[in-house]
Amino acid sequence: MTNNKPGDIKSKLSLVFATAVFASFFFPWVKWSAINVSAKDMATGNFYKLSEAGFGLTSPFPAIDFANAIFWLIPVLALCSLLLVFFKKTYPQFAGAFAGALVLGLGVVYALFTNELTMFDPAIQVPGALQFSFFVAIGAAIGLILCSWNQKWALKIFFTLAPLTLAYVAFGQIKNSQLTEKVAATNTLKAAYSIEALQLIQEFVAADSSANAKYRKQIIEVQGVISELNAKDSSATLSMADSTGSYVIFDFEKEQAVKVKDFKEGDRISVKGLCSGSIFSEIMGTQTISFKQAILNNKN
Amino acid sequence: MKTSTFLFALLISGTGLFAQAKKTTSATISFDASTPADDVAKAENKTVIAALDPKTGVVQFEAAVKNFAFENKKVEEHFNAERWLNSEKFPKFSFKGKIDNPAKVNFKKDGEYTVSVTGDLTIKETTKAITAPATITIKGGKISSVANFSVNLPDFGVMADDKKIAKNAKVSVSAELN
Repeated sequence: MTNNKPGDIKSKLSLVFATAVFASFFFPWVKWSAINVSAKDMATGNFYKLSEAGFGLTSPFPAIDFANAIFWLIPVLALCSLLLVFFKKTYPQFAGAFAGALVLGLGVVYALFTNELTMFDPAIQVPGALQFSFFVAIGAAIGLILCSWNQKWALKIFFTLAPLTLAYVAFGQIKNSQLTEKVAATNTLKAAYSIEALQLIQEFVAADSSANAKYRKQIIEVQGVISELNAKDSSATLSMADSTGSYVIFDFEKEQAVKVKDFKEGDRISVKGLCSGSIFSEIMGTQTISFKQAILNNKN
Repeated sequence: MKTSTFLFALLISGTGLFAQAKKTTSATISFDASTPADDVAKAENKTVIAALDPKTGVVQFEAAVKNFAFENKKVEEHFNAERWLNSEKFPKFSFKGKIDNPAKVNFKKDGEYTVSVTGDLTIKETTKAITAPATITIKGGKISSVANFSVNLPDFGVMADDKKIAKNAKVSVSAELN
């Protein structure tokens, strides 16, 4: 036996591990409530579609979602490993090591991501949410890495520990960046609509469902006459009302409060803010259209 | 709409001080479901509608769920998502109750008065009875009020694990009447 020719037992083990890595890729690794998620779902881009549909969690980097296709290398490299061992009678070498490393890295991401879902559904717990195929994949990945060369323990350790460490650190960094991501300042955002307050109110009063669908979650510039103003040093709200009492109300960004104090009821003003849509107020008997993160545009 | 604002006040029988319900559109609700592990689930809504009927002692408030402002973008998205408040389907919180001990407050006299308000809190169309202590301050004819209480989120169908999201969210309602 040479260094490049595995013995009978190592060959069989390599075949078993490579087959397990290949097959487990297509079976569920985790279960989120009733949602089964396989490794294939990451490669196809379905992972974040499932997380968004189930929990409202979107991809952190949607612009580069195509890069997830790299995980198709798992079954491809597992298949290459099988071919190398079966036909070439060699060790899987880098094909096996990379396949195993990708599985380990992806496994860390699946486990950590699933752990985050506890806040949306306490029934989702790690390790309970991890499926049989997940453990098969992880075990087979480690086995495949260890069977990739005859010796070369440094490489084997590297291919085992590096993906675990890298995935763990990267996940933590992404999570941290999301937890510290502030709501965008309104002055950096472009308005989707510019409209007179009375016209806006009229649209909501006439058909609140369609108006909510149109304006909710949009940055809007609204012009009108101030009907009520409450301004302190660190907070301010102002309203614009129609003749029936229905009104639009703006909650201003903290640093805007001082500027808002310069205005008074009856002044015409232009305000830009994030529309939260309307509710019908039982108390007021009117439509209430609220905005937050508002800023002054200019005094008309 | 009234220029002045306030949330909780008391019925003064026989004084004629309040001829009709007092209303405001700019009361504030502070919401805090943060935990020692995660400090980001905090928000404020400063466009809360509130009212008091001096004749009956009825106290009400309504808040647009979507107008709670968070500092953190992701948490704000989660707050409004289907598994938490589902603000598109259930766009408002509401409360309707009565002051338990209105005789404790003398609206003609400056001072700080502690009362309690009992009523029904509705979140995601689930209604639960709550009793909240409130502090009412009378100063120079102006009335201000603060009520602090906790809301068990799972009772209202809001997911919380007590690790990242506190099951018992701290809620503070404050208002002023000038």
